[in-house]
Amino acid sequence: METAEFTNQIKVQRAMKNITQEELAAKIGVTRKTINTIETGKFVPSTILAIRMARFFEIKVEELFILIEK
Amino acid sequence: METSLIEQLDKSRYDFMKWSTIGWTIWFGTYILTDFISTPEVPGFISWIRLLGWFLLIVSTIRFVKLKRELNWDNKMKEALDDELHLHNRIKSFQIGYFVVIGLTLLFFVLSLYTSIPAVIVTKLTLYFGVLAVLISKLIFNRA
Repeated sequence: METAEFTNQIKVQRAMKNITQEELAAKIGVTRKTINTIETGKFVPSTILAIRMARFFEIKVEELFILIEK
Repeated sequence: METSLIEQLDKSRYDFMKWSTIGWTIWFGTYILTDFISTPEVPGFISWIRLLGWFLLIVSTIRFVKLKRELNWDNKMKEALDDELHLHNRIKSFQIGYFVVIGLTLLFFVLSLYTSIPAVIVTKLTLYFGVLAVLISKLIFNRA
């Protein structure tokens, strides 16, 4: 069975916008812990949260979250 | 929305969970301990420890209820605190508690084939470790 790798560009996008995890969390409506666990790949966000984050960064969801098929 | 306020409330909630866990461990743990101790001198000392545990549990529960009521006035803050990670962790914690209860029930069932165990002890131990499993796993999953 093929496995897939799921990564994200949240840290990069945050650096480009110069905002902290806490600030991003407040904008999105979650806690800083949630942003941290998503950023480090420990938690996969729901579709709604993923879209909210992509909208905030003004990029597409598939540019923010990347699924690499192995 | 205040950024630091959400984090402060999140930390407060974690503190409530921590003190509730300690309070439960002490309060109910002393009930179980007295079932196994028969000397008359020890229970007096344990009663004071039980009182401490009860006090910790009550204070943390009151603070938690107070926080919940304050949050009911602000839906956005409430949604931010009870976000999907928190709900996900809550479900995982209750799953762990469920399996601990099932495991203990199975253990006591097997033990009952070889010896008799008072029902009140079985009930207390199952309840104690079931709740404790939920509380401890919540603490672990929600740590910063």
